[in-house]
Amino acid sequence: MVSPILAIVIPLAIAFLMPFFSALSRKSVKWVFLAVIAFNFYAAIMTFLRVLSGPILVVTAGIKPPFAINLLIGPLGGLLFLLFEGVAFLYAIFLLKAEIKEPVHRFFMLFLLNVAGATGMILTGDLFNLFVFLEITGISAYGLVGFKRDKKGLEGGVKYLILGSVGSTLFLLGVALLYSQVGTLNMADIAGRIWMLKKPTLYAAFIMFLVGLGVEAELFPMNAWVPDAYEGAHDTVTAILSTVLSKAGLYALIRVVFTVLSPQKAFLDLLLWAGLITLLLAELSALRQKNVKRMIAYSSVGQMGLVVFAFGMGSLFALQAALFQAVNHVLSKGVLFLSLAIMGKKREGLELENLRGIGRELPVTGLLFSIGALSLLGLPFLSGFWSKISLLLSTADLKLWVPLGLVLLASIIEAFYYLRTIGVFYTGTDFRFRETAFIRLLPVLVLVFVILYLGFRPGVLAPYLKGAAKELVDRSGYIGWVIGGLKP
Amino acid sequence: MAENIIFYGSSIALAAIGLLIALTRRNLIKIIIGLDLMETGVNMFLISIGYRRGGTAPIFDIPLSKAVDPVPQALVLTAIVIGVAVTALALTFAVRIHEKYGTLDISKLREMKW
Amino acid sequence: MIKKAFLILLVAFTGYVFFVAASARPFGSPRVVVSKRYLEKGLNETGSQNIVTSVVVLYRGFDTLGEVTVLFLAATALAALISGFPFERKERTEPSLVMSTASRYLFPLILLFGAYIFVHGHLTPGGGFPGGVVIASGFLLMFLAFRKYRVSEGGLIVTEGLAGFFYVLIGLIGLYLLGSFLASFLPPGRLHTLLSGGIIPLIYILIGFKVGSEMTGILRSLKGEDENG
Repeated sequence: MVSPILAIVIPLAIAFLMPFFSALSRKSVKWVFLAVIAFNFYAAIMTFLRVLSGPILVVTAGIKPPFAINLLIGPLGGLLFLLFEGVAFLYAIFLLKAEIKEPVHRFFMLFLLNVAGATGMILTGDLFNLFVFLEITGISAYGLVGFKRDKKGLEGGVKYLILGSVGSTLFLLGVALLYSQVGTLNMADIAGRIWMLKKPTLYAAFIMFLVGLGVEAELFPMNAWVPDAYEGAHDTVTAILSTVLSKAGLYALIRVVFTVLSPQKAFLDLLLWAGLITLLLAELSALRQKNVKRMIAYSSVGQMGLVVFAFGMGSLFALQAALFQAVNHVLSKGVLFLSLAIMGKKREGLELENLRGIGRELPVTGLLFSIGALSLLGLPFLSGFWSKISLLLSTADLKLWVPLGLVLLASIIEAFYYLRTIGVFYTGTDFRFRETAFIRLLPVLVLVFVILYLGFRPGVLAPYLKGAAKELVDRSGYIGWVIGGLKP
Repeated sequence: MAENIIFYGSSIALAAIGLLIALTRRNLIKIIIGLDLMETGVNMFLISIGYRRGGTAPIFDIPLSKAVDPVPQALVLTAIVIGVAVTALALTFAVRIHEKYGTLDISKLREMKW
Repeated sequence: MIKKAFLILLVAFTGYVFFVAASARPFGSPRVVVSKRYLEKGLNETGSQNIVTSVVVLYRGFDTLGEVTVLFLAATALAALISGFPFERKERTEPSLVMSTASRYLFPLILLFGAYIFVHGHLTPGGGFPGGVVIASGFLLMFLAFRKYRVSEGGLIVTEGLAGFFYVLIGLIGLYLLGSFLASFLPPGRLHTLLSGGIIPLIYILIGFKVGSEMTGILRSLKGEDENG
């Protein structure tokens, strides 16, 4: 039996020791990294299986919550935990063959702590602890984005740093406000006492959390850093930012809104419209981009908007659709960014014109990229189809006709630029076959396999999504797990 | 009420001023100063919410009724350390950006447009 | 201009709402819910006379591990970002004799004082973080007073790596022996003496070393020692 807390502390301990491994042998660093992430993946699988029979409460310092920090892994946490560590494991395999600028061991230290921070964010049951993990994730991400030390990387990094620290300071302000009113920091304990708050207090706290976490969750207008940071960062870093990091921020946001603050109608409406505006603006901006990586970065923002929009609808069915869409976004964006990284090795720059005919040159990579993109667009019998259709159905179910139209419009725009990109990939006269090494294709293949599998059997995921959505809706259940003496 | 304005009001005002500086200034160093001001405002707010009238540091032996709330103090300790870390990293970015671009004006980097 | 005015109004309004929200509980009457237990039982439960310390190291010890990690991260990211930076060596004059002599005598005292602060963290105000920073300030003084003063990178790496590793190890021993991470597996000891507080002094000593070496490392990176040694 593996305690889930090990998935946070083992990476920390190994990151502290990384300079020693680097001194022993410079090659060992990435293998150590892979081993730790593999351990995390194993811990995630074991935790996921255990959560099926009931939520897990992990206490620290031997003192029961709410008096000490605790971790709580329910169905939602278990699902995201598995997803994060699985994706991180694939990235770790991908990094085995990647070219990384010196100092290599520092890159892996930052990457490892980034994964540990994101893991901490989804597992913790304490609001201030969430802030600490937010900062761990954030600071390691600033370092990773700026790691190349070229103009683009530094620019993206510094913009992310400014907005990120403004966001986390506002988040801290919100935490301080809640503490001053209820006198506790445990999420479940606050949730149980939230009725004591007066209206302005509740709203002020919500605004602080929305703005603070909106930076990581890529909501408009706090997402100005996204395109620059994504474009300037190392390819795998972009992939982890777009998949794991944004979902960790999103998780924190919905956990705070749904569980801690209780989902007021006004809060949900604000989320809904913030998501919609983010979606539309991002898709319109993506249309104008010439650089493919930047275009996918905007598309990533748009997808986050779509997911937040779906969460804003607030019905159980909508929450399931939102979670499914989030899972699909992780899978597709992983495929897109990784295959783009493979393409980038063959050509100078990632401008669309430079990539003409790349699909013929790299047939497998081109095919994988296309499947990832088509799944994102919601082509039938790919995983993305099912999430998008259930999302649209739940919108129609709530009779939100205007948002429904806007989402459809955004989908059409998205389809247009993705199909244009794929079209360019398959035109041109360059027929030289130069496929990349298998080990680099393997992670992408696995992701595409999952997309195809879920496309043919979408029902596999349904019970887990349902459990996770129920966890969000059922606040008193969550409070009961922590305060009501669930055996640690 | 007067005390509310002095302690809560001033710390919130400090945080708000820092936020405005960070969002409206162009010079990277000034932005970093703004971030620090914001941080300080939040820390002041945290300390003031834990204060008990006539209280003193929670180190025994003092009567229980005189001890201020220890939790905000622990939180501020963490927040200060994190603030130091972010500031150090931000200044490093400033140094590198000045080297590559020859300016600290972030509006000159490329376009700040979304 | 209009954008700026709008922004100012928005921030001012939000600040006002926040002020109203915070004033719901007037200054000077904190709501002690969780802290009540810390104040009432903390002394006997942890053996630490300084309740803030027991909150930092035990009750919220997981935060503190994260906090140490944040500092470590900043040092790592900073070293990564600064590496390859062309430091310009301007000719500087040696500091005056008064400065260098005084620093030479002050340096060991500063280190001693830093160590005192972190060893007595459970008895008096202070602890690992202030102690570590005091130690780093001693190194800063030496950097300023002697142009040729060097700190070896290896020493810093060994100190911070091992201190961090042992911190996690202590937590894991708690997990193994008592079933929860960072549980205090040592007895509280005799209250109000140096040997009290269970694992608190142990952790604070490790934090002191770690913070001291990390802050010194940050100063060292910013001074640009790697390039022109």
